Amino acid sequence: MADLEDYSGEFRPDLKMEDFSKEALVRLWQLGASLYIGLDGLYYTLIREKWGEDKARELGAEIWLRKGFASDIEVQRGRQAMNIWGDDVASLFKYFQIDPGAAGVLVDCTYELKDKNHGIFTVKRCRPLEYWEKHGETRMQKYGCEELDIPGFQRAAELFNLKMRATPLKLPPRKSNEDICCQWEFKVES
Amino acid sequence: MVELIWEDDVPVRKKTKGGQMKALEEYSGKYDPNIKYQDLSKDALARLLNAYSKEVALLSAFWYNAVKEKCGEEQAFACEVKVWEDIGAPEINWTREALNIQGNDLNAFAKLIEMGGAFARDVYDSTFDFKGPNHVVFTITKCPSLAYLERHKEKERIAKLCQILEPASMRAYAAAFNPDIIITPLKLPPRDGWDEKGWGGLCCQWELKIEPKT
Repeated sequence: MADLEDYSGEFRPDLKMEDFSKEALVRLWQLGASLYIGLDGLYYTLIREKWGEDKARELGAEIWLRKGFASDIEVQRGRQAMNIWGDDVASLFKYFQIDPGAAGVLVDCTYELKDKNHGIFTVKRCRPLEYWEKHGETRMQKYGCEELDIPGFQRAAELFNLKMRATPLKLPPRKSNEDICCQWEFKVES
Repeated sequence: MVELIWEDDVPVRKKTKGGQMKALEEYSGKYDPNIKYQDLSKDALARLLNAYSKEVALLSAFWYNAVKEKCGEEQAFACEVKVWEDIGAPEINWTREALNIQGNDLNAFAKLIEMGGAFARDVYDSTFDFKGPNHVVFTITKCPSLAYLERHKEKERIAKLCQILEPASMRAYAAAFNPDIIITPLKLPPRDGWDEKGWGGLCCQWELKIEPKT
């Protein structure tokens, strides 16, 4: 049976994910990433409406930065699904490439691996940043890019190797949308 | 064709003569800076989808717990219901677009429900029993959230999620798809005494109908 390129035909009660073509599965993966980030955004917005910005930030930070919460689970599930182990920067970059919270959001990135324990991660397009810039959400941008991402990237690095350091080389705000969004150095200290 | 080769600890892609790159069953090998999702096997992509479906459910649970700690259970549950109502329309639209699912009948709705990112196959199991084009009985036979809550004897939480949140969410998804769909819950947890009634193996059951307009 030929792979399904989409699901425009009849409902199939015995459908398996493997019946779809790779391109269809990749589109579903992108959908999953949108849902993941969309759900988070809805919670944040709702809490901001009810109790104000400070409470939303406080809770958001707890979700993403507290040990055993969302970031830790996200790293653990992605590594398990793709069998990504190892404790070097190359392994962390592999994880970023398949992660809905990274690759699903940071839609255009480059990875420059100087060696297995040292690399530069550059984000050229970031969906949340584009949204915040478009809507003039400067507070939200500062919160996402600095208060969440700086400790968040460090937390992700530590989940691979306690000696790995995440250093922001460039962060928003940016002068024009031609600029890169952000740039990070990951290094395992010897 | 292109092959991944490591030089001085740095991966590079080189053109080679003939031979296609084999689809990756996992990503345990060397880091590839130019990897695309299309390089993964279909099994690997399906595993990723399942992982993300679980992450979506857990992320919502983390938010619920964080709000509960700071603002109380009642507020946390109200937020949870609202979020799952609000995510219905975008999820329906994203799935429609991703898989080119057209139409607004129950056949199309069944396809959308089973393909939605929050309800991955292999994580959840379900059946659609079509009684006619405008009448279907939807049964969920595997629900990891229910299994978890039953294991931890969280009866009150089960009642709230299954009897309040799920009907609200199902109705929001249906309304985003076709406002004429009428959803009636037939069997909802808690599952006390279900085995005796011959309902063993069911998690919940719903009737979906589109009433013909006169």
